[in-house]
Amino acid sequence: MDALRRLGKILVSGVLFSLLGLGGILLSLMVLPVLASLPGGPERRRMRARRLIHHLFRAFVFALEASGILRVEALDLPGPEGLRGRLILANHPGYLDVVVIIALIPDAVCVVKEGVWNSLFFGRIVQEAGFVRNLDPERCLQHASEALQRGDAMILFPEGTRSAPVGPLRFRRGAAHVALLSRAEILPLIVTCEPPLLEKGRRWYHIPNRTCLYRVRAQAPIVLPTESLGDLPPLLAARQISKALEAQFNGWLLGIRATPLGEPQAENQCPVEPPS
Amino acid sequence: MTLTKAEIFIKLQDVLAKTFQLDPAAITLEAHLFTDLDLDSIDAVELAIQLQEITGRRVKAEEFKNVRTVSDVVETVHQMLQGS
Repeated sequence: MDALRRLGKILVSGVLFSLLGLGGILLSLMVLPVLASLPGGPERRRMRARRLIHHLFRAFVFALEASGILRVEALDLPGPEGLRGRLILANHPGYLDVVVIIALIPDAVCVVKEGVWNSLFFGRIVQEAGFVRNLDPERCLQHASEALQRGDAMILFPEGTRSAPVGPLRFRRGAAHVALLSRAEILPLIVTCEPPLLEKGRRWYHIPNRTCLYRVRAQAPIVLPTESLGDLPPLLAARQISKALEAQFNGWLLGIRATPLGEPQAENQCPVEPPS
Repeated sequence: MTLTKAEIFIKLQDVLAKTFQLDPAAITLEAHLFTDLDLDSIDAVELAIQLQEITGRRVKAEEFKNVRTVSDVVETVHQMLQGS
């Protein structure tokens, strides 16, 4: 019975991943041109494309929830006003993290690698949505900082890749540089998934038998200590900030792992709702 | 200007230690810039700018592409000085 259930899940996830890619192409070819022809300036155009991605990912997460592959719980996420111009930093336990987070947050941008920027499935949409292309480090930092100053909420994974399966998180310094350059307030998100789903080294068909519980917990916003950083050269300030953030995230994660997985309090709960 | 590789190494050691607050003892010829010395691509851009003081001109990205260790940097700088 268990083997059958697993096989079913693998089939369903295969179909859903294919539909997600297909959805990306169809939206690029059929919906984006319509959205682009609607009235409004470039800012409204970008927003419509971001909402499109949000709804596509919401539908995808809803289907994953309906098929018993995962269940998403968001705790303490702020509303739209608490997200404007915020630098959203999250740990990265699994492949689907960005999908889950964008499904929860309607209006966020990300930094994407060349592969996504030029991809047949999602290239057009992420370009329209004002996502930041990771072309070279200097321009990437500059563009990310500009997006935040423009008021976009930006999701970054400071680890730069999925977390190692064991051991503490290791941050690269790109996120600290963006924080330093933009001076944006940081919204930390702690993402946990139990049992782990599509963690580093796993392929799309590695789906556990049990339903994975995805939890996205927002922590209190962080403001950079401008005074104490003083006149430190950016390269050194980024090292300090990155180390501090890394320690903070590891502390939160340890705290969460130490407490048994109980049901969270009802008033904090906000599962992804079916797409409207 | 001709500098021996040993002289270049000493200058480089100084630049690396100052710019990235590294322990000079850790900066050996064999040290790997990205793993041992924990530099990243953003640091590499800065390092290329800093090397201008030794080479007299900005190091281009393509000259820096295959650089992995401190010794690679010394070789690159040495070649640049020979060529100029």
